[in-house]
Amino acid sequence: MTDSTISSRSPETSSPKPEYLLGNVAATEGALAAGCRFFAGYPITPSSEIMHLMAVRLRELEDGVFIQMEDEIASISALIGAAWAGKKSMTATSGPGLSLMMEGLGYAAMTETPCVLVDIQRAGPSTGQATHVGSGDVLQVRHGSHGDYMPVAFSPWSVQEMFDLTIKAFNWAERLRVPAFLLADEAVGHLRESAVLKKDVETWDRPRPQGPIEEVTPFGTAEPDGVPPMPHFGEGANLLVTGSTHDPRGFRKVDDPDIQDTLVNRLTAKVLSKRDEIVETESYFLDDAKVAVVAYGFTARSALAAVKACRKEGKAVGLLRLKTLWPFADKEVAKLSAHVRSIVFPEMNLGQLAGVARQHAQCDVVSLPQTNGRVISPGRIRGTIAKVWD
Amino acid sequence: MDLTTLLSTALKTRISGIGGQGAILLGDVLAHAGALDGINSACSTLYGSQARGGASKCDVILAKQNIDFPHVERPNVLIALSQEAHDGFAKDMDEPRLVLYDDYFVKNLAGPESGLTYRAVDATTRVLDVIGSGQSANFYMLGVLVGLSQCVTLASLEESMAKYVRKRHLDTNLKAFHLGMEAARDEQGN
Repeated sequence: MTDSTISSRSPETSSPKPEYLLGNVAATEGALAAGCRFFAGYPITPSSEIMHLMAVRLRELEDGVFIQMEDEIASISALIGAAWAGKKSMTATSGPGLSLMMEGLGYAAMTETPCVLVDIQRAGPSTGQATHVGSGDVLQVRHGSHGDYMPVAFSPWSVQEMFDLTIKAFNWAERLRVPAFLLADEAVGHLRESAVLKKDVETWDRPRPQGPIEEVTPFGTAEPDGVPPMPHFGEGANLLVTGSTHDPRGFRKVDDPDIQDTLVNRLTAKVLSKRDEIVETESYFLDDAKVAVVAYGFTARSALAAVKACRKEGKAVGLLRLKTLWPFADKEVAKLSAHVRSIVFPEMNLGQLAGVARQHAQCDVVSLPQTNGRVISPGRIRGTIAKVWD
Repeated sequence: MDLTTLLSTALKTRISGIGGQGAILLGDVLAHAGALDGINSACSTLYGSQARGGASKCDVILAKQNIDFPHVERPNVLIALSQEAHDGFAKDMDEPRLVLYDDYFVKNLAGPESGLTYRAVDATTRVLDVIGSGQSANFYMLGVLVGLSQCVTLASLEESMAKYVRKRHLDTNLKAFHLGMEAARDEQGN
């Protein structure tokens, strides 16, 4: 990467004209546009450009803080602390780092701490192939920490979406007080292409205490799916933040079955009650499709090229692209499956999300897995479509 | 040969050499210039340990329409800065299968049965002669490509170079680029 690839720029002075930039740089700029003012991380291929640029950019901002931590457990812990001090906070990592963050992920979910984790996925498991692409973390972000929780996860397919969906990840993290993911892959993180970095973006902030600070209940609402107001340290609230089961005021209640039940159900219900607003998909050529491809991330780019090539051959094939992975687009997949003969589901893992799609689909779901550290080519998707078609 | 018409669909260029020859820098400069011209551009690079001292590769797509699949599977143009680049990539190309090669480094070409159109470029020889260092041979090659294809405007290319090339090397590289443009023009005039 040349120096100018991570050269300084400011969202305030950015041009609305298309720019040419690296996916990881666009994610960084998206975070700053969303109001991120705290970054803690440990560099890891293929996410490191985000950390490099954050080190430059946050220093330029009066209220920006950047810390290089000793490891990824410390990184996510620092995010949580910064969020409770009032900052919008983010880290960037890849598979091995994400694995270390699982303990903190559960803590963030349980303490209802808004934070954003950018995961630039590489070929795993373990250290795997550091410089090569994969999508093997899809189920890990959903289930990797113990107990029940529901994250929000976006899957960008372009440099433009590295910017746009990072902003959405921040907005949903804040609105729902949850850890949110930009679940990108190396091929998009390291793609360089034209994108428009908008000057003014819509940003949402966490719900804040409205009445007397001593009466605030930061961990409970009257509604079973509500998001409680979040005070910050230093504002006067007697603030207890704990990963152990706690009542609405934050007091530990590790023997009370009702409090445990209410809390754990609300952690998921507060996300699922907004499911229709969160979940985003895009449809291409689906109106008369007999076979549909369902894809996400970089693979959806290959899928779109494959679908267009099939259309030229006269095959009625379409694409449902998943922009969000969690919550899963269950209704959209179910609806699609009622109108097509088969769904082809290419992904850079051994069928992680295809398995989830099968739980909701009425038709056959044909998994097209690939784990060789390379992107799935349009030709390979066409080949599978042809087999399904005959 | 009119490479410009490819822009309406996609002009796919692969630049390859040995790590350090500036293949990736060229790709960034070209793709950024395309973006400045308001056309879609996508660039992907070989990323990993083999790029450090070993083979280096950078693919650029310039297109007036949306770029669905942003990687290059079959380039229209190959810029070969090393013999290894020629041997590895001068195959599986799309029309017009144009190979621009630096004849200082690439000595052995595929036979006529390959269907490739070869253009020898005296990039390293010329910049050694005129500038005194072979380092800017990559920009001479880019000058030839832009001269032949008119795929980006000169103004955008120069603005892009000013962004990506270190200030102390900018004049030298601009000079090399213009030498390449002139060479392409002279060749087309003949």
